[in-house]
Amino acid sequence: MTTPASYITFKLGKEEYGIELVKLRELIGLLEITRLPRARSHIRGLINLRGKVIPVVDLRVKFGMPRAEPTHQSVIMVVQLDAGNASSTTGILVDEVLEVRAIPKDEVEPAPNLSEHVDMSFIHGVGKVDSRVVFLLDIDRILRQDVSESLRSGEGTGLAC
Amino acid sequence: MKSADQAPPKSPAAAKMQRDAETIELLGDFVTESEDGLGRVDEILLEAQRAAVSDEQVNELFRVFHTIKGVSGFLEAHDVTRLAHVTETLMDGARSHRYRLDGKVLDAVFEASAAMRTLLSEVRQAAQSDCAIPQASGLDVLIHLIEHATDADADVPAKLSVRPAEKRAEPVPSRAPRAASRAPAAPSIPVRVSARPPATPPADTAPGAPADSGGAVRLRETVKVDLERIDSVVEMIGELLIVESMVMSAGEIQGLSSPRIANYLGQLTKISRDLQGVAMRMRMIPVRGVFHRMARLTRDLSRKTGKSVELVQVGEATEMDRSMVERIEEPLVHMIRNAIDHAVEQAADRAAQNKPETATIRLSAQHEAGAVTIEISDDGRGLRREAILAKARERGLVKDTGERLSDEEVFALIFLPGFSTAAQVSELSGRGVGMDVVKRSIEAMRGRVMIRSKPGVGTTFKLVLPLTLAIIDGMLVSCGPETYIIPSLAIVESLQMAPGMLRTVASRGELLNVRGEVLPLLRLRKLVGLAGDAPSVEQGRVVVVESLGKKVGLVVDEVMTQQQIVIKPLASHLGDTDFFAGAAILADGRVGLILNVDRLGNVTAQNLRARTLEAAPPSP
Repeated sequence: MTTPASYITFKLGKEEYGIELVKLRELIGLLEITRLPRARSHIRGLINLRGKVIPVVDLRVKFGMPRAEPTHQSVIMVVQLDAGNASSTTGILVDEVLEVRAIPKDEVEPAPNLSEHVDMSFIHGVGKVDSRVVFLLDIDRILRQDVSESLRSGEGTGLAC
Repeated sequence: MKSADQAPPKSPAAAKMQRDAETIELLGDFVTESEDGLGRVDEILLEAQRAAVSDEQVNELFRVFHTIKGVSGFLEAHDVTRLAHVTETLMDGARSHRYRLDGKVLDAVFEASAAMRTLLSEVRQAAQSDCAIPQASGLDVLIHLIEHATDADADVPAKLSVRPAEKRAEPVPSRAPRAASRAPAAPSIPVRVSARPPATPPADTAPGAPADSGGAVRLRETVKVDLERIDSVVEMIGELLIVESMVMSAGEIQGLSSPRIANYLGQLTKISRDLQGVAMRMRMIPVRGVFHRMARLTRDLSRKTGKSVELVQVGEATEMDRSMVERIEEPLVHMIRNAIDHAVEQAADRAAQNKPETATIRLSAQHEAGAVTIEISDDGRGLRREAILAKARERGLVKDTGERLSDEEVFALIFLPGFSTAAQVSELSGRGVGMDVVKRSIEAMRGRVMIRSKPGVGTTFKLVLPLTLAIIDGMLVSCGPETYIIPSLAIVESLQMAPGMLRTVASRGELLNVRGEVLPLLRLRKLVGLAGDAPSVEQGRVVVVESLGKKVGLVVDEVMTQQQIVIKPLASHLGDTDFFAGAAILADGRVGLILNVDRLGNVTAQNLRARTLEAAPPSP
């Protein structure tokens, strides 16, 4: 019984990644991102999503790749993240969106340490699409890491006294 | 006890009475709230018929009658008070488990609730027609029944009627306790949607007081709405305003020269502004409730301390955002405690200074330039600059004599955590936890606190608060290609840099000389880490912002415009974002960041102190 889960795949640099389609709210073309000074380096900034202000994560930077200026192919994937008790809408800046693909469970293998960039704990498996390899991301975990780090460092508690 | 039955019937003319608008409003609120409470009472009672109810529910019954008793006493609705009192007593026994809420006790509460509705509708009618609240007949019987509900043999069915309404043919809603109220769905369960009890149509008023005549007063009618719905309306209107300003400032629209379109757009703007006003008012409630609680607090504290203190309230009708009215209470409690405990002298001391024996604390609220200001003034001994400074030195908060600090800066020291000049910790205050709580709560509401004080004359705390937490007036400033927003409430002035204003002190930082006043200077470009060529400081503009008596000059590239902005909170896990109070959507659709002025003040506080000390002469 392997109901194939649907993934949306995208490119970061030369590598191909995928996240579960159910996490995706929408894709938006590049729009002006307001820089957020003193934010974490992988927080690209804030955008106006129809009146809501949401942060945009630069996945390249998060994964330790060199920061790149967005091109006309760059896309912001709007995802609904679930990070413990904080559920939030976040934009994810990727180089290029490829396709929606159903990947049967038996085509997904546990993550070997293949990527030179990515912290393997963010990857819950490696899927095979045609003859290519797609890293399937645990996207919630990425935000959860930020939240727990910010709790540890006590930031965001508001008042500086 | 005076019996209502024996009281001579009042002539309609004598029953006529004048109330001021405020009392009428209070009566209206009281009736509406009490009816809501009775709605809950009926729900619980119906449940109690089927099965035993929880302690919390019995408590709720007690609280409803307790509240009605308290407020009605204040409004001089004596029958209501009497009925509420005996019912409250009955419920008190039930909640302390002296007897159970069933049988005759339950019947009695049912009766009380029904009779209370009748009395309340009379109160409403009396208020609308400027009549005195009529005395109910039959109330004594009912009260007797309730008082003896726990006796073994009491079983007196009660009928309640109201004297001036004798002409009414239909019986007042009252049930034979045994028969009807046992049915699970008693027919007289009130329908909660009607704002006015159907038993009292306007035509059915007492003679001599035609409610519908020209001079009659209409009570405000209210509907209770889930706060979440109001919030979502307010939020959507906020978004509407954003989209509207995006449309308005779009180049294509601006390029149109059609007077018709301009006219339509003008109308659109007007309607959406009105809509915003209405939406904001939906969340606004008067500060009256909080003020009245402060009056009670003053009375209690006055008794405890043996100091005679009177609280004068001004502007209780001033409206503020509901959530802010709730949040303002704690700081007010702290400030009034402090005033009574520390500021107000003992009677003998006051007499020696030719002050009236009774001290006065004036609590006032008013709308002022798009903000709400709340002032707490006492006529006590005033803040003693030297005592504060001595304490601050002892605690290491200032390193030298502090002589060069302005009064405002010295007074602001009392807001530091753990600061207290009270020689003894008393039951009321003196633990030094009060004033920093005040400061924090006010800051959390994006407000400011200012202190004025004169030794021997008194102290005034002035709180300046935004009207609402969601929408503020903001000044847009530019910094390179980026736009930032400074809350207008925090802005003292904005000025053009002039030669000679800038001073650098020992390469540690920059100071700004504004008409002789020396302020620390911050450059927005540096603060937000923006590289690139800044216009020379002489070309920039300085926005002087103030937080807690601390002023800071902020150099920006340009001051652009002022506009109303809807604050969107920032997620907490993005990094060191304390510098920003939130984000907002600008007229062009981009996101702008709102500067957290209080944090700016703190950034420089350390440096400022170091610099002040450095510049100060050694203490003698």
